[in-house]
Amino acid sequence: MNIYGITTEASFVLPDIRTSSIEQLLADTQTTKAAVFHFQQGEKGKLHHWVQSIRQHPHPRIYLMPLALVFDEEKPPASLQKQFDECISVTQLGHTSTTKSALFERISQWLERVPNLDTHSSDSSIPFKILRLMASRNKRLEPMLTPANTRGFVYPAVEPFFARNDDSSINSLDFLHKQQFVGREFFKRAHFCPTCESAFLNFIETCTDCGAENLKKEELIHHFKCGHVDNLSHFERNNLLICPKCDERLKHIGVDYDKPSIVYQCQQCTLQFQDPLLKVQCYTCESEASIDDVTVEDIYAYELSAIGLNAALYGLDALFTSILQTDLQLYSNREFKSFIHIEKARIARYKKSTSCVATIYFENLDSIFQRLGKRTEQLFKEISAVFKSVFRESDVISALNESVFVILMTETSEENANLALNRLKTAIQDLFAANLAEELSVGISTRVYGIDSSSDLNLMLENALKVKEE
Amino acid sequence: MSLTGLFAFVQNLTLAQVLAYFWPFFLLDMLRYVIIESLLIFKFLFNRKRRERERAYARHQLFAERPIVSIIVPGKNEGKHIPALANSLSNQTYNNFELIIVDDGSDDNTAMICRQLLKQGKIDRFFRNEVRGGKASGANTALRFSQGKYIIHIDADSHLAEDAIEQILLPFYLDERVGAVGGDVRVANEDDSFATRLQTIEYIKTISAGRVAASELGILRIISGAHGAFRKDVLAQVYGWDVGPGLDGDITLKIRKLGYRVVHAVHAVCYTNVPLKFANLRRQRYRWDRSLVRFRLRKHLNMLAPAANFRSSSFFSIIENIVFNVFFDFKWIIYVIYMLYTAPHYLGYVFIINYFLYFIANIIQFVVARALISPSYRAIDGLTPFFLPLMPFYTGLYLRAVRTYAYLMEFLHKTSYDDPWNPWKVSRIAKKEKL
Repeated sequence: MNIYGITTEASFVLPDIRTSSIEQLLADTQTTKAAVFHFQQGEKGKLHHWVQSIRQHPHPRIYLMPLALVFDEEKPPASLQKQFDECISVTQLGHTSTTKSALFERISQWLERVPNLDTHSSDSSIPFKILRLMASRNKRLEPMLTPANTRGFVYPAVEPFFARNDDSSINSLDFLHKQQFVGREFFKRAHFCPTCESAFLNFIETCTDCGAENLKKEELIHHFKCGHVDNLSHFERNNLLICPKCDERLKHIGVDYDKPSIVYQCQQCTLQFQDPLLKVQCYTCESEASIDDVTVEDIYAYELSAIGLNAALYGLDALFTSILQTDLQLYSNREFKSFIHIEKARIARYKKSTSCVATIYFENLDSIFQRLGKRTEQLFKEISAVFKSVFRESDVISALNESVFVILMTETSEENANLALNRLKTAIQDLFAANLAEELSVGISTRVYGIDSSSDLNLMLENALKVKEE
Repeated sequence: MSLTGLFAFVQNLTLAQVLAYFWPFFLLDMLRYVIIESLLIFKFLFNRKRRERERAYARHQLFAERPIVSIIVPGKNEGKHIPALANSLSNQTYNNFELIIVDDGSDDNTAMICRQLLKQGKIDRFFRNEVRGGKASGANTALRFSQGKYIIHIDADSHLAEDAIEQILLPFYLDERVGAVGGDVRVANEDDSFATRLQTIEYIKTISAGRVAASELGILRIISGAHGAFRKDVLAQVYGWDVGPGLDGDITLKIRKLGYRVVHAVHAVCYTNVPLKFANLRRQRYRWDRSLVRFRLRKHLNMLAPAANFRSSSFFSIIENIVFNVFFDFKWIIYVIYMLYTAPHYLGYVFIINYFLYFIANIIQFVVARALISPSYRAIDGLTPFFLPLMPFYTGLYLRAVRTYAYLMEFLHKTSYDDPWNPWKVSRIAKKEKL
């Protein structure tokens, strides 16, 4: 099996591009834009392993790399195909001498939008990686039935993210759904073993009395003319149906006889009954259970939500910052430092003005995500409106990180700054009170520092972070 | 016409005139229903007293053997009655029985109710025929799966007195020639309406008293579908029930043809709900009465022929049935024509006197019947006897009119084959085969 790394966004034709090794590919976060695998018979294991090592790589450029699969004759199994963005046969490839994948283009464009992507970027959270995979390809994750794991279904596209073949993918998707990053849609309902959750169950009809599995199923016959009702076998004589009561031949079903129902006869205790007791035996753990105890679960297909799309770009918890960024024009830390420097110089020069630096720290911000999900965006927008109303256009706002904000309030006394911050605090706390349940509190701590020539921004920022630690 | 005129008319009657004017009452109804029936009931009561020891021994044998009894309840859309029926069976004095419910193609929630009861263990077996096959096929399905030595057939909308199973089984142990035992059917909803009061009196007279008398004579010809017990081996010989309507009378005759005795157990009591309205009652009787013509006069007329299985009691059973029910039913037409011809001026007097005669006859019959059933009688409010004055109208006019109409329709048009009581597919075959 060969692997080809594609470095240009231009076309790819197999013989024209250079062969690569998986190690080379994994080491190169800059030049390789996509990879093409040439699948040959009997290399399923190796292929899977390579895809795994790409998807499990921490760097977004590697693990989000568009992957294409080219095969000769034997088509790889569907579950494997679905791990790739493209899957074409060699013959197809020959017909279209230059195959340019719009999808590959799309992915590289999406990667360009990711902020702060450099050689040292690394994503460790698997749910986040899944989110990014979905966002970069605008992908809907559909489950596929499989005998390969005990749950009986997989999401093939995200399988390579996991080292082991277990429930992890389902748990990760469930987590993403709870956070409202992905929406889900009913796909299938399935029965699982109450003991080990395996989907591989044997449904057995058993005798209602002795529990034996060896049942014989027989049809009942009702002869209209004489009203006789008996098992089909009692009517059978020399390949004809003869009524044992009146010795008449039964010719046409529906005209002179019918089959009103079916009965089971237990071959062990000879009991006859119509509704056998349904039992379930698990192929995996061999435990037996009554049909009522079987777990019934829904299996879903997942699709990215608007919040998820945002989170994929800015990180699972950067939503707030991104909203403030667009609404309030946050300045970067570097810019903020420059402003402070200028302000300090101005105050020192004219000795007329008083300005302040305020720090705001939100405790527990990530819990809002978990609690509000989809509504988080709305709440954050409202908070940013509060920010807007409290601060003036002449104020400079910057985010130290997701939870800590620093604001340079020009021409504001410490007293007035505190007043403003208290207003902000009350307004935001009211918002939280209206949106969050009581047990979930989002604390807001604020501090105000007057600026003079001796002010040290680094110290202030340190203090702001200290508040956080307290 | 006046009261004095009436007295004068009565005083001037000679014996010949009495017979001439009131022959239907004195020669037929009084003789048959009052004198002979009362005598037979006294004979029954006397014998019962005499055979008390035998009865005690039979009971001992029954409980020593404790055979399995299959209680079979076929029906369509009867689910709502089943829980009450199952409960009424839970406190039987004889309790070695299995309760088999057959759902004959119900289109309501019967199957759901029954499966629930099956799970709770309130019923023992449940079979559902997806397609309706009629009462006979339902009963035969139940018979097919029954395991009992005796089969008790009851209707879903009835319930049994506490000792009913014990009482209905005793005759099998008193006389081994008995192949089937009829249980007594009494009215459960006695105080529900005017119609049910009259039916209560009618049931006591015709079922409780009438069948004891017939049983004493050895000519009992019907075992109610609502309550009857059969020996399983006997049912197997006749291959169960044939297509109805009137299949209960039919199977009784088939059992008689085999030479078994059929008796009535008056103290094996089953309470059944009778129609509340006269319109429903009329429809019910119309169906019952037609079946008499169909089975007695068509299907089983061969019992009158001196064949190998000829039995005089069966012969008389049928003759009595035909004569008293069919032939004598038409006597009142003859009687009215005859009276119009012989005594047109006295029609009013004759009518009033007839009414009194029948009223008194009803009182005597009721008193005798009431005495007969007193050990197993369940009083509701004691008001029913006050409806006795209406009985001559009820039996003499209302029921007679319905019956005459039914006989005529069946004779002329064989309307019973069009009865929706059986599924169409079955009726079609029955008509074609002249069953």
